[in-house]
Amino acid sequence: MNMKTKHILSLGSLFFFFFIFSSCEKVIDVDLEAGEEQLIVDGFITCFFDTVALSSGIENQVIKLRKTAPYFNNSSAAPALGAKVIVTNLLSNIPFEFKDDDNDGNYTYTGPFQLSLTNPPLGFPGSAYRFDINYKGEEFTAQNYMDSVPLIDSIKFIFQEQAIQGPDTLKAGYGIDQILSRGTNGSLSPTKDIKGEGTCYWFKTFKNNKFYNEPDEMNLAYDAAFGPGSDNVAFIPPIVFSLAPERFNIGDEIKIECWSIGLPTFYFLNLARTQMNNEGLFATPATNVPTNIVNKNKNSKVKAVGWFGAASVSYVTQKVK
Amino acid sequence: MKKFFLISFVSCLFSLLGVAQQKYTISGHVKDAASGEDIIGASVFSVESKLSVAANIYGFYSLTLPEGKHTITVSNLGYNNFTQVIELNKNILLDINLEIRSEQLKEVEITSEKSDANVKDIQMSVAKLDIKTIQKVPAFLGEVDLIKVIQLLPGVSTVGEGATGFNVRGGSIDQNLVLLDDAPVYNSSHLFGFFSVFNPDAVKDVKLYKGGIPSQFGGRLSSLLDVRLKDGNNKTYHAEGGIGLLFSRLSIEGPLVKNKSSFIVAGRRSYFDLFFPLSKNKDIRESKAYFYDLSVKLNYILNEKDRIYLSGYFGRDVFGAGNPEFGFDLGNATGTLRWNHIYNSKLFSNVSLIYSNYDYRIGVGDNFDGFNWKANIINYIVKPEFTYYLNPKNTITFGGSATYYTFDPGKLLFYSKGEKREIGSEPKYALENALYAGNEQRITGRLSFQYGLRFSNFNYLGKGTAYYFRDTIPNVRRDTIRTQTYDNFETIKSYNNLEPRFSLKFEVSDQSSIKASYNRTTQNLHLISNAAASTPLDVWIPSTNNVKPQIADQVALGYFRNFREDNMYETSVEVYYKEMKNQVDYIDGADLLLNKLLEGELMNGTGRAYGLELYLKKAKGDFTGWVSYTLSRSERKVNGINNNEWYPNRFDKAHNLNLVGMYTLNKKLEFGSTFAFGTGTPATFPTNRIEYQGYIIPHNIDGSRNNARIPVYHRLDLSATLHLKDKRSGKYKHDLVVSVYNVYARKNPFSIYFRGNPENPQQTQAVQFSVVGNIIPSVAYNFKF
Repeated sequence: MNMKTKHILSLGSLFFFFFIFSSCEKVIDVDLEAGEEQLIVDGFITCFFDTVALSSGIENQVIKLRKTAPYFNNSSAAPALGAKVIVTNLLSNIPFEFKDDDNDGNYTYTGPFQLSLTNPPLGFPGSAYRFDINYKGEEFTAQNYMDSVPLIDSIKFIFQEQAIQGPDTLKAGYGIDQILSRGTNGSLSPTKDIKGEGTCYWFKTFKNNKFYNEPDEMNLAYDAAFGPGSDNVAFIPPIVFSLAPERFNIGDEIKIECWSIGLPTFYFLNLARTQMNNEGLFATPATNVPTNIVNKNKNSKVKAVGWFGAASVSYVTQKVK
Repeated sequence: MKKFFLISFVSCLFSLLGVAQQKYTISGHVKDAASGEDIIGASVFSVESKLSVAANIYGFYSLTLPEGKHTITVSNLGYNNFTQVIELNKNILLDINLEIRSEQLKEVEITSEKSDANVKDIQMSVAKLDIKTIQKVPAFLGEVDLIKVIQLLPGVSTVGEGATGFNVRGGSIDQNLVLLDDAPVYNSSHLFGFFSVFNPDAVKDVKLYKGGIPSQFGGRLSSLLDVRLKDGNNKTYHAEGGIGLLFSRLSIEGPLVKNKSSFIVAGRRSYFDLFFPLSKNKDIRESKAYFYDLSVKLNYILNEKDRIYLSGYFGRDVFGAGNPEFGFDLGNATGTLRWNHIYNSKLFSNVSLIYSNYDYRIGVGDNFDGFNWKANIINYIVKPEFTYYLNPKNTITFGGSATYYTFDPGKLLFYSKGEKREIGSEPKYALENALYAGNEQRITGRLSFQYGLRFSNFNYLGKGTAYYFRDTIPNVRRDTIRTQTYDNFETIKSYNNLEPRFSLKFEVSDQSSIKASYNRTTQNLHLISNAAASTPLDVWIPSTNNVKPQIADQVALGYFRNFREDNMYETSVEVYYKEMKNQVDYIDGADLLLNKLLEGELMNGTGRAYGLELYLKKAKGDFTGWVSYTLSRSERKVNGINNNEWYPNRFDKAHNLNLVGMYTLNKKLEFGSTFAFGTGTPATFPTNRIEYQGYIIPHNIDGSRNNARIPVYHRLDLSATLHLKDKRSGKYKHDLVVSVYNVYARKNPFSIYFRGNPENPQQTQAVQFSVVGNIIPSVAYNFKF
């Protein structure tokens, strides 16, 4: 289900399901056919900015290569080993080779890093990237572009009473009221979407270094809201409130990362989120998520899945006081 | 092909002019003697000439007979026969009042039609339900619901409990034209599909056309559900009502001017929100959740030839919670003004002016932080219709309609920290015109035809912007290549369609007949919904330069047979095949709400549906009821989905079996039961998992759609009605209905989906979702005086 719909219908249906009768869910056994194994590409080229726009630009870049498994196989995905991985910054046309020295499927670039605008580092906003891989004789390629990201200066927490949300009771504690950015004159104002339609974001929240990793905690924004038409305004309350998936306590260390992911990646993640949580009366047809990994040999039947992304990332870390 | 139809149609019309002979016409209305209500479908029969005619939906009949003496018999199930001998030497106006047969008999009969209509009428693929029958079927939470009863008929199904609407012969829910006193109803549900908007106390007659649809009806592909409100008793005042678990109801009817004019006002409101203030929880105390509806009808007999009816419906669902308050309300409003005019004993006309509106509003917050979202569809319709009773062998219908539509497919105004933005699409406009003519022709006593032609002209109009998209790989979001703006009433795109209709009936014997039909239907309104069950947020859009009219061709063949002298048992077997063009489908991950580029998210496919329907009904006796069984398939083929192969629709069910039984033990006690069984609906199951950024995404390596089925559905419901007598006054009747839904508490699956275990997302699991997971008992109290 579309996120917009979900927000709205959850409220209405709440009353009914809650007061009148019992809709129910149960885990069942289903026999599934297993498909053949495929290569998964899982990685973002990143550029991290802290609260004062200091780009490290020198962080290690990692692309994970894994293999798909039968759906009910509950172990971690097996690594895809022995691939040759090159990422090219199309602005500078410099290729960077990613290597899997530990044989764990995590292909890493660890330097050297260049730090000049004429000769930009691997990860920098405004650059486009091409990803090339040779795996088991098949050559795949993908491209993406790194958008800019708004900087976040600080988080404004707010105390909230105990409340009912859906079937759950939220305990009293701190939620997030606003995220703030510092203007050129030094004043603080609510963080805005970057100007230009279709800049998209993935907000990640960490509490005491633990990432909120459930699919329905995946907080995506299209401009400042959920779709076109919300360009260059402050992120709307449903997005800001969702930065706190639960109520925090005093002393919790909260980190918020804002990943500027670009429109194609937004569509990919948005559909992935739906597919991982396709429940209820208004579920949409189950479908495969797209991939931007293309086999260079159009006649080859071997396909890869996953997504090659690029994101500039701003972050802020703050204790609840 | 079109030419062929035109020529044959015109030649049929000419063949109507029979041999001249001195004939006169007897005409008038058939009415209920006690209430003055028109009786729809009563049979008016001349014993001498063996000719008959059925009263139309306004109770009007016209029968042209040779000069001389005729014994006229008028019959209708549930009423005593009326017989009168007349000397026909001029045109005669004769209004007939039928007396209701004794109370006990009436209670056990389940339709108000004459008892052999299923065999003798030319119409096939039709289900007529009397409100009394509907009231006897055990109801969910004790709330009588005609849409739920319709779902127990052959050829009709639903995707699951709680899903709005119904599917007819493999068509989607937006392919049903639901009419309430001629006004289209765009969302026939309260509370997301759990209850229908029709108040049973105000409904007189329900008729569902699944095929062989006569030419006067058009606009949707799959069916017509024609719901008629009561006119109101024009002799005495009555009230009825009830208190159920969810609704309380009250209706009042009576004369405005005795024998000339009457009214009915019927209202319902849910009342569980009245208990909210008792809650200890502040959020619940401050919440709103209720729904209500009001049905009103007035009619006035101006003179022997003119009568006007005014009817209206207004209903809304309202929800609100939180601080600042989040509010959501939605509903339909319809209004119909009808004027019946009898030009002469052979020519009857009705002109309707109709208004219909479905809208919703969602809002939260204020002009600093908040939003306000609105969407609607509004219709203004003029519909003149004529019936010309040329002679007993030919009844000609002709007329037309013009509909002006305005669509607001959703606009959201929002404020973020004081800055205002607007999202969504601009309004759309359309004008739809239709002209039709048809004839029901009796060739011999045993063989009849009904044929007609409907012309539909649809214009997508300005003011507005037309979007033109790049053709790209199917199932990928299409880019806009250009836009063009249009002025008020400027035509952006027009579509013309001819819809031939043909039906045939051959009576093999007095109690058996064979019927066949072909019809083409077109549809220019499309409900944009890709969810399993349509949500109230789904919007309607017109055919545009990108969205073509849906077109269906259906053929059906049926055998109808009654058993026993008194037609105690009715049976039928029907087969149908239907092809549907320009079916709207959606790209994966389509964004359907508040998207001005929505048309770029749509795809176009073809559909086909076929099936076998068996029906056995016992209409009389202490024990009544029916068995319906449907074997069917409904499939779709869309480039870009399921590797361009046919795949079953989300609501496809191979087997669908319904048993409905009602038993009258004595004057005091009645029982009802329903058993429903259906094949599980299709679902898409994954084969593999993709681990990405720590998430587990399901993946089907073949890219197939609906490759699996959820488990079968079956459910038993029971009810008992205790009729209580008030000894002080014979007039006051009341009863207590105890019903149990889902008696053996089966957790019927609505869907199966796949997710990571919430405790450990790495571990994947399949989850079955049931809308109703329990036995649901209920009790209702009804009264009438």
